[in-house]
Amino acid sequence: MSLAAEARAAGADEPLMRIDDLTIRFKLGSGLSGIMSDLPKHLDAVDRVSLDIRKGEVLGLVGESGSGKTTIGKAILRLYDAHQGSIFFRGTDITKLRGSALRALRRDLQMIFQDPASSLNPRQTVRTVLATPLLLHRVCPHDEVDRKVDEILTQVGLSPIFRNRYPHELSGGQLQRVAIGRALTLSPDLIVADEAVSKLDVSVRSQILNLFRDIQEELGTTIVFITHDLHVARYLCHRIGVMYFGKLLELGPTNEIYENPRHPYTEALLGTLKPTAKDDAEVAVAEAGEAYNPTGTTVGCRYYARCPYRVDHCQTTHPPLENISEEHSVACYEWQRIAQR
Amino acid sequence: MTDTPIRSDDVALRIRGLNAGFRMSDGYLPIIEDVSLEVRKGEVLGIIGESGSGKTVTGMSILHLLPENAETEWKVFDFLDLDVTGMDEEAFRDLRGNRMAVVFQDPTGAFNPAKKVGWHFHQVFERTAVKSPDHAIRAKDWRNAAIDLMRDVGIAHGANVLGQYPHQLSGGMLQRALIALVLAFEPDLILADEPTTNLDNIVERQILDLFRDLQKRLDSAFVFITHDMTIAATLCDRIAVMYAGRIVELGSTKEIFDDPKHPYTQGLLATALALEEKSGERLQEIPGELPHPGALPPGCVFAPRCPHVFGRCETERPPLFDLPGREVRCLLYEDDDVSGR
Repeated sequence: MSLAAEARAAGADEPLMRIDDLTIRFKLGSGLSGIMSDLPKHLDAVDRVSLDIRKGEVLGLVGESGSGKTTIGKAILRLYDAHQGSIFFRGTDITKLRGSALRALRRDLQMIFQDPASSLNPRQTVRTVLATPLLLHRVCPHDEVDRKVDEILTQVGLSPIFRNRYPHELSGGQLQRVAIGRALTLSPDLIVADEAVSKLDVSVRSQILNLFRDIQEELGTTIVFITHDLHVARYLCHRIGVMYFGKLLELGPTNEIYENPRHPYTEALLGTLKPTAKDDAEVAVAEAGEAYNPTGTTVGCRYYARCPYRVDHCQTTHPPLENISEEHSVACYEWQRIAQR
Repeated sequence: MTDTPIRSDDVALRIRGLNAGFRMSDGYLPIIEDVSLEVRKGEVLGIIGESGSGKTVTGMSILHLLPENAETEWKVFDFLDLDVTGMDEEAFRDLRGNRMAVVFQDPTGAFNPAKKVGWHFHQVFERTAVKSPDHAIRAKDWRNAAIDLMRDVGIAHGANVLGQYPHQLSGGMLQRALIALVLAFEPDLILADEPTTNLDNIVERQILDLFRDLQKRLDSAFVFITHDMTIAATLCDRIAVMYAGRIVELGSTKEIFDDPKHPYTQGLLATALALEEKSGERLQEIPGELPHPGALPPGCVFAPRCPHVFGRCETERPPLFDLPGREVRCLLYEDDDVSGR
C-alpha cells in the first residue's frame, strides 16, 4: 500500500483542518517613502489559498523563500491574523477565536522551528522547557512531572540525564530533539514543522528525519512539514503542496507530484533535483528571468516571467487551482501541454 | 607521497602539512591538522564537510584571511611558481589582490555598500589594465566591457545595474554580478565558500551552471567549498572530504562517488543517496555527532561513530594512506598503501 493510501485509510474523509480562501496581508511602506511612492501599500504573503489537511497525514509545503509557506504555517497557529478567508479546525473557524478558546486551541496545535538554538530559552534547563507546558495546561500533577519529562526524552531518543542540561550544553541535533519533545508534551493534534531539519548537518539530519517518521507512525500526529528541500519532502510527506509567491500552484500525493508534475514550476524545481553528471548538456528548466515582484503591480500568473510554457492569456489573471484528477490539482492554464511531454 | 614534491608546471596551488588553530582565552584550540592538497590550473577541487569539519578554516588559511587570534603553520605552500611559506603579509596582500578571488555565501560582503555596482567594475578594470595592451583598451571602455560580461552571466539590463547600489539587487543578481567581476578580474585562484547555499533551488542551479562556464573560460585553479554532495558531484573534478579538521579522503569525484573508501564518506554518500532514491526505507544514520575540536578522541577522530571500528582505531591517529589514485585516512587501508612507508 502506498503511503498516501495508508494515510487515507488511517484518516477519515473529514479533514482535520480546512483552510478556505485564506489571505494573509502585510502592510508595507508605512514610512515617508511608502507614502510618497506609487507602490502598493500591502503585500499578500498568502493569496487566497484553499487547502485541506487530513487527519494523520504529513502534508509537505514546498517552496522557495518568499513563497508564503511559513506564513501559512504561522497562520494555522494563529500567529498571524487572516485578512480574508477562514481556517476550520474541528468544525470551528479558528480565525475568530479569542481568549480562553484560543488558549485551549494552542494546546492542540504546536510548532517546531528551524533553529532550535533560538527557539529554546538559554536560561532554562531541558526539564523546565518540557515541564512548563505540562504544568501550564495541567496535563499531570506536580509529582508526576519528572516521570513524564523522562518519558518524553526517551521518546525523542535522549537519555534522562539530559534533564538538567542547558541548551548551550547540547549539540544541534540534541537541541532539535528537545524542541520536538516540547511540541509533543501536550499530545497535539497537529504539529507545524518549519524547516525543522534545514540547519542540521547531513549526518545528523537523517537521524532527525527518522525520528519524525517514527513519531508520526507511532502517534499518528498530523504534521505540516514546511521545507525548501525536495528530497526531504519526498522522504517524509504523504502529500505535497507547491507554493510560489503566496499561491498554491500544485497539490497532490507525493509520488504523483514527483512522477507526473503538471505545473511548469514544479517541473523546474524537480529539474534542479536531478543530480547531473559533470559536463552534461544543460536542459533549460526555467528561464533566467527575474522572479515575480510581489510588491509590483503585475497581474496574471505569478510564474509568468520564468515560464517556458507561457502564452498571452497567462498575463491576464492568475489561474485557479483546478482538479485534474481526484487527488491532484494544479493552477496552470497550460498543464495539459506539460502532461503531453 | 614524497618530501620533495615533483614540480609540474600546471599545479597552481600546492599545500603540505597545514595546521591551523585559534588562541582562545583558555588556551590554544587546534582546528585543522595535516591538510595537504594540490589544485591544478583549470581544475575544480571540492572540499566537502559538515559544519565544524574545518573546510572554511582551510580555505581562509590559504587566503590568509583568518582572524587575528589564528595561528597557521605549513610545510609547503606553493602558489604558481612562488614559495609563499615565508612571505610577509604585505607581499601576500598584493599577491591576493592581483591573483586570487574569493566568493562567499553572502555576496553583499564583497561589495562596498556605499558605491554603485559600476564603481566596482571600474576598480577591477583599472587594476587589470596593466596586464596587457588589450586589457588597457578594455579599461578605457570599461562600461561596455562590464555590460558584455554581465550579459554573459545572465544579467540582461547591465547598463541599469551599473547605476544601482548593491542593496537594490536580489541575492541571485548580486551573486551574478560578483561572478561577472571575477570574470573581469581573471584570477589564477578562485576560492568559493558555499556560494549558493543562501539561494533558492532554481537560482542555485543557474549560478552553478555559471560557475561551470566561468571555470571553462578562465582556466584558473578553483577551490569549491560545500557541504552538499550533489553540488560537489556536478562541479568538481576532485574532492577532498574533511571531518573534524582532517582530510579523511581525497580522490577524483567519479572514484569517490563510485567507490567511497573511508567509512565517513561511505556514510555521507549513503545518507545523501537514500534521500534521492526514495525507497520508503528508513534512512541510514551516522550515529552520534561531530566531536568538539577541543575534545577530540585520542585515536581516529571518526572512531566513536565508525561502524568498522577496531582496537587500534581508539589509540592511533591514522595517517593519510596512499592508494592508487586515492588518499584515505583509515587504518583499514594500511595494507593497501603504495607509498612504501
